[in-house]
Amino acid sequence: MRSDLLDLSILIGIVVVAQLTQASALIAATPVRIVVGIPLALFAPGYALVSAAWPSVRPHWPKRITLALGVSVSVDILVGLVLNLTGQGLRPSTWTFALGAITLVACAVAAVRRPHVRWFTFGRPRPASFVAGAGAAGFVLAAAVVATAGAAAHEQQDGFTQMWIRPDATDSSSANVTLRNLELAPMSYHVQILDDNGQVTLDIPDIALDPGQTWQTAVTIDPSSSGAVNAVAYIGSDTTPYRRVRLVTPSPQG
Amino acid sequence: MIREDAQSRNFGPLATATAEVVLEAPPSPVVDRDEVASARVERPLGWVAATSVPTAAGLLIIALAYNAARDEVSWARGLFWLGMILSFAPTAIGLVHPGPRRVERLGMVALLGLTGYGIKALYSPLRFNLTDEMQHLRSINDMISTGHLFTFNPILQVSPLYPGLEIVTNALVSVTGLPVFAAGNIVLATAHLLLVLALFLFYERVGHSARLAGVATLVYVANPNYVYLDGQFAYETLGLGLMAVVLYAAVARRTPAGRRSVGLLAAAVLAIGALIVTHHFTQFVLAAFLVAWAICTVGVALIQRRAGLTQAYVNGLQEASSVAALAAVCLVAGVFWLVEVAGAVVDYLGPNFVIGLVQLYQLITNPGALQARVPFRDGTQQTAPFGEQMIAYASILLVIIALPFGLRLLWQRHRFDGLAVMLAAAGVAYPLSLPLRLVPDGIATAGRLPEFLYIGLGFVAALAICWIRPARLPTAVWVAGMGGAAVVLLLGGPLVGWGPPGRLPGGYVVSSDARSVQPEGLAAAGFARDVLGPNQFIAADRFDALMMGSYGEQHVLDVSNGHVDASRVFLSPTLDGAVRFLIRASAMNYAVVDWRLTQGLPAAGMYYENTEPGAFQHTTPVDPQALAKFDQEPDISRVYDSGNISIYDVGLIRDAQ
Repeated sequence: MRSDLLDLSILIGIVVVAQLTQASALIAATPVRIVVGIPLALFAPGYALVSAAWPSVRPHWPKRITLALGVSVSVDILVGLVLNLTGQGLRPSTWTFALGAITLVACAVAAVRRPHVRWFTFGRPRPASFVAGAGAAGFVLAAAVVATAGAAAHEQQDGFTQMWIRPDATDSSSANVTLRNLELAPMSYHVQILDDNGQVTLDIPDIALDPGQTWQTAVTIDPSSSGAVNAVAYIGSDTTPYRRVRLVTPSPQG
Repeated sequence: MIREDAQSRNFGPLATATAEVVLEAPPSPVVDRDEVASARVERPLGWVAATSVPTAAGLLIIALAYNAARDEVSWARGLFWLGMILSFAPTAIGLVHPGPRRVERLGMVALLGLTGYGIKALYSPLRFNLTDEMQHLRSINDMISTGHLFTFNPILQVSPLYPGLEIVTNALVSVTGLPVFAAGNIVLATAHLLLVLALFLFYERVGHSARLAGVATLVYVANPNYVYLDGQFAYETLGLGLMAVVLYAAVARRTPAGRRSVGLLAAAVLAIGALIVTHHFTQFVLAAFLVAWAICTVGVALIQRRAGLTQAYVNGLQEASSVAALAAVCLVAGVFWLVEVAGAVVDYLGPNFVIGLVQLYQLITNPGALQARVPFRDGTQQTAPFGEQMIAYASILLVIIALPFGLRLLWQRHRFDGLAVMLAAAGVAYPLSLPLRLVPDGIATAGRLPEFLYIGLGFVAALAICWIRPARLPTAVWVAGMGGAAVVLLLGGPLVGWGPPGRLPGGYVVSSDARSVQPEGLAAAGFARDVLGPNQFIAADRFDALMMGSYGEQHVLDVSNGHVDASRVFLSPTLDGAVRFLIRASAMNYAVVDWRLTQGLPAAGMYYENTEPGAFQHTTPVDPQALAKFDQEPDISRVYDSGNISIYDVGLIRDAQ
């Protein structure tokens, strides 16, 4: 392999591995799919096209990288418009194929047109620069972790309980009352089902739910007459309604 | 070749001294940077490494400040500003300093651009929770589920008509398997990197100096919308990056070699094509920029012909024709897209511009007829802290002060460059746009302009910052002062562009963007999606509607998509005939009541719609009795209750004869 084709070889490798991730569920489940997918979507097509358009070492790398990013994004958008016209549309398989094909064709053109010259040559970073870069990356990573953990912890500060009532989709004479504990601790509920006149028709005194747990019960409704079913949830032995829902049944005449 | 600035400092004989200032000479302009020896070995990125550590540490402090704000710790705001200063100061000083090499300036520009984005990314580390983000989230989710474009988006109709951002995100989601939120953030980071790199290269071509390019990009990053509005998962964020690519390709085509480059032409046309389907307003502005550039260049060329500069005249006409050709592509393609696909954007954008100008006219001609908007005050009548206001005003003042100095230099050195003249015009337009911020609806106009006008302002201000210094002031002192001023610019930008209530994350605030997007609302949206089913016709307050429309996948009824002002359903004291008619006419299935609206004034100025009674002038919260009416009607089911949020089934009213 020509040493001056190293960059194009890497692009081809990315395309090949990306195609493998589509073909193999085993590989798709690994981080490899992410590692090759990001450059395939955001860099490889543009870089290959820029390399094909400018076969010499010019433009220099800042311009080349900027154009590669810009052209890649542009190619994504225009390819997306084309994929939309196909029957399959914008799917992982069509994306991987389209972006891979563009990259490979452009790489081939670039390889043919490219003169035998040294390609990018970077100086070896000083150790201090390397340490500083690693330190900065560490700070950024720490910032991301701190922000994510803090936001997630904050969301756990205020719990609540959801209660809902819905007609049973398969049985017109039945409705389902559901209770979901999204509080911060295990909860004990007391649920009463009441008819339209406020008479308790069902009393369930002790419903213990851990955080995230859901409880459901079916209640009978009379589809032949209009009226309402009420469900009220209390916390423990408290007599103040904590949650309440109501389902109005329409009159048979509509 | 564009020389390194470190070398250019030796151009002593070219310096022109006046009584007040020294005009330092920029490097001599040359034709094409690409003539740089290809095999040159770049030195290690010393300045980048040195500035990256405190910058990243600043981001960590900002993350800690956000957490402190969530815990309602009093010193959170101070910690936030400490982090902001630490994040911006190193790169600001580095870019203003004459020492760094070009490659280092590029690195610092990239660092600065990504830092600005990082501040927003740390603000929303779990999900997209700003208004525009939730609107576009609906579009990308629809695109992924259907595999096709242009699915109707009830919470922002024009979003699927400009699907560029969602297409790129879809591509990344598809090939990586990443969740939408992660993929979207990678796309946003890429867009910011693209924007600042392309702008740097653009400014470098115009100003023939890497130092000037770095400072101009820094001033651009200080625009009020860079950190928050253009840090969002929204189409303009990507549109700006594509616009910068077009500008760079266009300016690179000014040279004869550039005009012969098929690659540059193809890159420009590709980016224009992508921009046409990415963001409406950015494409219009780009077309306007290109047209103005071509006109200015023709004007300059005619002046040069009268002066007998025939070759310059010919070069000018060639440049103008090249730019005009790109403008024509942009205009024709943009109009085609508008007519064939995105006609709805006219109704969407048009009123925003007209009403702001009309109100400004009213304010000037009849001051008593219109209540002026007080800057830095939200809908709850709370104002930003005094110190923040001072920094914001100082940042505006600094660019206004820099303008005349920059314009003077521009006149001396770039007046025969049509592009520079166009940039000057854009820069001057920024302060002229500021009065629009004083009328109630003017922010809809003025708020959309800074990210574009700062392209010109950045160049003009950078001329002043780089090439002027008081004669008796040591360079080191002047550079330090300019570095400090740059930090004030960078700190002030987000203060001007983002109101005080949502600047720090925290608990629920009524009608306050991300602060209104909390787990209970998201859980209600999840219930709607999973239990009620997608695309139910739902009415809700502004931010519950956004959650219902995005995370809940519901068809939210509002003024923009169905011309339904659902606020009357909620604010009316009784469920009278008019309200029942509105429910029937809008085919409403469900009404979402958020009882927290009865506990506070809306930070955004309205609870439901801009058109609701008392919008932007509320003095009392929503009447609890008005919301309680739903519980008193025999034909309304209360199907959901989570404490603060109830969902009512109004289907029987909708279906009633």
